[in-house]
Order: sequence, then C-alpha cells, then structure tokens
Amino acid sequence: MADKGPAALRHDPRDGPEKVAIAANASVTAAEAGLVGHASDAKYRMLFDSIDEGYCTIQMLFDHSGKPIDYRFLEVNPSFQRQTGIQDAVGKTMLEIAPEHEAYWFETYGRVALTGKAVRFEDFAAQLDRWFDVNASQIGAPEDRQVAILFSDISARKLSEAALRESEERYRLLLDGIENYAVFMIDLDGLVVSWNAGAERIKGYNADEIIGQDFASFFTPQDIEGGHPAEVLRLTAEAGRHEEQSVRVRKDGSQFLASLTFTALRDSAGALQGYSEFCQDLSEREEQRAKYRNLLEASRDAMVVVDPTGAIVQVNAQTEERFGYAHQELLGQPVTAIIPEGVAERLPEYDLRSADDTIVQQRDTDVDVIGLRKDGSEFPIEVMLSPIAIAEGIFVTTVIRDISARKAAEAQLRDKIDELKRSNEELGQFAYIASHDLQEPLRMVASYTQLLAKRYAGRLDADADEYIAFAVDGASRMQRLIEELLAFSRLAATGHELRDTSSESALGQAVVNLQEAIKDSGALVTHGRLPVVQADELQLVQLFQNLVGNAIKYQPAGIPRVHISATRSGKESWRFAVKDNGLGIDAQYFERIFGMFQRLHRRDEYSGTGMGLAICKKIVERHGGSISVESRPGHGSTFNFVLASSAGAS
Amino acid sequence: MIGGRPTPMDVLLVEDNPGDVRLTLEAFRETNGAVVLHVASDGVEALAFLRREGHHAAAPRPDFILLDLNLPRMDGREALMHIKEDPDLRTIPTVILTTSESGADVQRSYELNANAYLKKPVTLAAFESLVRSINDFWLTKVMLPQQRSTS
Repeated sequence: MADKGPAALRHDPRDGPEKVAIAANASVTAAEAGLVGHASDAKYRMLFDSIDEGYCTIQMLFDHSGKPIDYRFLEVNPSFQRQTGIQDAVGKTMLEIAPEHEAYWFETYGRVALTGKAVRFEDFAAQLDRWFDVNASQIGAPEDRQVAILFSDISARKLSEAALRESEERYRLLLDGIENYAVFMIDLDGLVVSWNAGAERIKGYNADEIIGQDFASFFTPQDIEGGHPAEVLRLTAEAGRHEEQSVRVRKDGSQFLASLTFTALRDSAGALQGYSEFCQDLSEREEQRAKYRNLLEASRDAMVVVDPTGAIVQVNAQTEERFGYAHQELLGQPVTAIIPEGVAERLPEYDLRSADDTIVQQRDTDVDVIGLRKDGSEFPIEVMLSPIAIAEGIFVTTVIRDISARKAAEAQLRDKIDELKRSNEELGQFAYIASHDLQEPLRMVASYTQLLAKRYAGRLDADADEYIAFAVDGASRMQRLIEELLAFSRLAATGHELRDTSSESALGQAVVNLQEAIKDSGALVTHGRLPVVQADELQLVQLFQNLVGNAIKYQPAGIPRVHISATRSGKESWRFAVKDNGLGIDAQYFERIFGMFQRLHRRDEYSGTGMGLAICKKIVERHGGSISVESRPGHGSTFNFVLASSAGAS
Repeated sequence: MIGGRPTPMDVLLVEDNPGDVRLTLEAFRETNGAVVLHVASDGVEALAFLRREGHHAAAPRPDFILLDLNLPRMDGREALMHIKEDPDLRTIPTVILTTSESGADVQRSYELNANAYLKKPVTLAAFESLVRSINDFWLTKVMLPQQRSTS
C-alpha cells in the first residue's frame, strides 16, 4: 500500500482523457502564444528550427456556413516530421494527409483563429495514432485565419499513465472485493479518500457518504475528545505502522471491538502522502469462534484444537468427559498430555509440514492410538486430523473417537471365532471318534450275522435264511457308511502338509485301486499331460479314485470312457477336468450331489453311500480349491476342480 | 490237523472282547485244529500267564502271541513293552491285532519290537482269511526258537 503514490490518492482514474484545456496554464500559454506570433522573424525562426517540439503555422479553412472544416500547412519546423510522422506537409491540407482526422481539431483551431484566444490541451489523433500536448494561438491579422501550433508527441507518457491506471484499477478491485475487512485510505488531513466493500459492510457507510469525510467519525466521542484520531495518525507517521484494538463506532452509532492496523504511505522520495487503515470487526471473529465451538460441542467425538506448537487451545465437552479433565486444565497443555503418541508427530510444526501436507498425511492417519485419561488409565482411540491455516499458523482440529466399544466387539468376535473353530474341531473329532467307535460293535454284528449265515444257511427255515440275509446286508451297508464317514471326518481331523505332488502318478495309483471295476466294465481311462501340484498325495489319489470310480459306475450299458485333463487356470493354479460318457446329471442336482449321504439312484440300480462326492469336495476345499460339475442327462458329466500349481515352476 | 504240525501249537490271545475271542477261536478251529488258543483279557493277566504266576502256574509257554492294544488294567502297549524287555519272553513272536489304524500306534508298536502289526478286518471273510495267513506264516512256515523254557 505504501508504494501507492499520493498522486493516485487524488486522481480519479475513472476520468476520461483530458480533452479540456488546462485552465491553470492558460496565462502561460498566452505568453507562449505571443512568442509564437513572431515566429516569422528570422531570429525566432532559428529558435523554432532548433527546438525538439514540433512547430507549424496553418491556414484555417471554413465551409460556406463558417464552420472550420480543414486547414492547410503553411510552414513546419524540422522536428515536425518526427513529432507527427507526416512528411512534406507544407502546402497540403490536413484532410489530404489524414482523411479521418477528428473534427474537434478543426473546431478548436477554428475557434483560436476566430477569437484570437490561445489554448493548451492534450488530445489524441487516431489516424496518426499519437497523443499530443498542444499550444495553439492566433497568428497575424485576425482576418488571415492563421494559427501557430507548438506541440509535442506525448504518446509514451500517456501509455505509461494508462498502465498505471490499469494496475491501480486492479488493486482497487481487489480491495473492494474484500468483505471481511475494512480497508481504506486517509489523506494527511485525516480525510477518507478510498473505501472498500468490507468498510461499507462493517462501518455502514457507502463510499459516496464517507469519501472526503474525517476519519475521526469512526471513533467514540471519548476518543475524539481525547484527541485519539490525531494521535493515531501521529503514531503511524512516526513508526510507519500502528496497531491497536479498540472500540469503533458504526454509522448507526453502534460500537464494536475492532482490531486496527494503520500504515503510513510514502512516495518514492519518502514524503508522507497519507495512511491506510485495515480494520477487522472482532465481534464477528468471536461469532465465528462461537459457531466453531458449537460445531465442536455438537460432535459425538472428543475434539481438540491444537495450535502450531502442539498446545491445546480448545476442547469440547466430550473431551472433558472422555479424558476426565475440566477444559481449563487442558487449555495450554501439550496434546501429548492426553494422546502420548500418534498426533503430535503429525502436526505441521513438528515436521515443518504445510496444511496441504497435513491433509495428505491425514489420509493414512486412521491409526489406532492410545488416549490417556487424567486418572492415568488408557483407552483405544482413533484420531483424525483436520488442519486449518489461519493468520497465526496452522491449527489442527483433532477428532478423537473412543473405540473401546469397537475394540471390545472385535475381541469378542475373535473369541467367538476361536470358540467356533474349537467347537468345529471338536465336532470333527467327535465324528471321527464316533464313527471309529461305532465300527467296533458293528464289526461284531456284521461278523456274527455273517458267521450265522455261513454256518446255518439252509439249516433253519426259508424265513430264517431271509432274515439273516437282511441282517448281513444291513450290517455291511452300515459298515461302508461308517467307513466313508470315517474317511470324511478324518479329512477334517487330520490333514497332511501339501507338497509338490505329481497328479499323473496320483491318477495312476487311483487307476490301480480301481483295477477290478475297470476290468469288469471294460472302461477306457485316458488322460492328457498332468502337472505337478500342491497336494496331499493320499488325498489326491482318493479324489481321482472317487471321480473316476463314479464315472465308471454311473453308466448305461456300454463301454465307459473317462478322460482326465488339466489346463492352466491363472498363473498359480490348474483346472482339472474328469470327463465321462456316463448317465449325466440333471442341473437341479448339481449342488446336492456334493452333500453328505446324497444319492440320486435307487440302491438296486447303483450301490453307494452318497459320501463319495462329499469327500471329493472336502479334499478339494482342504487344498484351497473348488469343485463343480457340468453335465446334461444322457450326455455324460465333467467334474472340474482347481488345485494350486507346484511351489516351483511347473 | 489239516496240514498242521503234529504237535499242538500254543497261542496266547490277549483280547478283552469275547466276540473277538470267539471269532478268533472259530477261525483257528476252521484253519488248524492243532492250535490251542489260550486267552488273557488284559495285559496283567497276559504277563501272569507268561510268567506262570498264580493260577497260571501250569501254563505252557506259548509259541505265538496275538496282542490287542486297547485293554483294561494294562493295555497292549505296556504289555508288549514288558514282554520285549523280558529275556525269557522276548523271543516269542508277538503280533499286534487291533482295530486301531493310527500311525502313532503302528510306529510305537514296532519301536517296542512287535513282530508285526495287523488291523482287524471288518468282514468275517476277511477275518478268516487273515487268521489263515497267520497260521500259514507264523505257525507253519516260520522257524521258531527251540527253547521252550530257560530257567
């Protein structure tokens, strides 16, 4: 503001170009004109020939109604061409040289020629694209209608004036736009010379009302009586700057607490030219703070505002409640008093971070930290930081959420999961033990019904033979069920480590185990190249055995054909397919067949426990994969499952 | 005496389940009439029999022992340990016959110098076939140590 020159203070840049003769210089102009009047004298001719200014004499031309319409150049000096850009002017009329030349030039010179009254003015000639500073006076006898013109090209000066005006205009617009603060200027006498929107809003005066008025009207009667306005200007002039907080008066007479800054404005030579005043309505700031406080209080989380040094400057009631302090006890304390770690480190001051950096930081600030109560007890909290840059630095609003309940819920959930896992394991163990222990008495039932059948078949009556046959059949079926159940629960209860296993040799073993069924059915089992996978070998054999066994078993009359292949499924797994030409499965059973004890056929059609595919599913799942079936009744089935590739390259 | 040795063979069966005892008896009866099956229902009784203690004073020294693992009072594992630690008894072939297929039991039994480990089959036919195998191998083909009693 200090660089704003005093001339600018008084100059209203909104005035148009100065077309009017400058009255103050009129007498001088007359004297010069007198001088010019004798230009034809040889002595003056020499003078005019030597000067920088342009000089010419013209003959005014009028139309029949007496209106000046043009002029003819009678003589010009050597500088004329440089000042105007016109060559060989003598003898030509102005309109011949510049047909667009403005009429006001003719009118002005015509008036001089007719009245004999000299003029000085500045104006613009558009076709010449120049500004001129012009002295014009009558020459010779009035009836000659001749005028002498002494002038210079002032375009350069006009241009810099325009640039200055433009920058002043921008500055004025900027100040005008500020609404939160009153910013205005005062001249040496204490009169207001500029006024912005904030000043109008805060003080209640519009620019027209206040410009030119004494700035003392902003002071209280007591201050005025005490000579305070003059004192303020004196202090500002002495120190270059003066600040105070005091009560000011609005247009309507109401008073408010203001924060004021006065700055002395000096020109480039250091001469005092005026003052600027910067005024903030503190009652508004208080209002804002109150709003912010209300916001803090409305929050369900504890909120703590921390200044750039990490000291607590504001807390809400939630903070008092959560941490057990009264708010007076916390104000001024370091934030580490209640949050020992995790917050102070993130404050801008500690790491010279900017508010923006802090916002960026804030994204990964959702870390769990510990809150420290007044009584020394700790509780888990989650912290969110929200920086605000204000004049005093970067303040950070810390939102503190007590996550004790969530932590407790998480712990409870973990406990539940552990419990569930345990009970699941126990259940698996139970199934294993139960099926194992059931085997014992069942073995007795089966063995002795079989012994009975063996020793007494045909020795009792036909009914007895039939009863014994049912008992033997039931017992052996139950034995198979229990065996499968045992195999299934053993998968859950035990489980070997997965290691690199050749799926081809696992299939080979499965085929050996199925030898008899393959021979009986004449089945054709083929396979493509099969990879090394991460598997428990015994379980993989079992998996192939069950799938290939099913493929052979569930067949209409004809030769069973089974083909096993594997294709890459993503980077780290293989997708196996066991394809048969068997009965096929209706889509509605695709899920059900993998359940325990699920059968789709009558016992007299196809024997089986309904555990085979449940075991397959369990095996694949224990290997981290999944199994599914594609099939159409009468068109065979394809069982697909995915296993992880071997740990090494395969 | 069908294909068996002329002299009777004494076999000690350590088994607490009367059903299994009877099955084993029936199976041996069908296989080899010369086999005399002696039964002890737990480890304590088995050791008393082998050491001719109490009312077992007149007991013969068995040519072969079939030992179940899960038994009351003293189980088969412990009995096996005592048998194989006893210089008089350790030469008697002792074969485990049990329902347990636990790998740990198999391992432990061989560590205690069991001569073989057999799982009880679930069907009668398989059981009979197993007893036939035992007879054919342990009671027929295998050469057994001659000393029927030292001390």
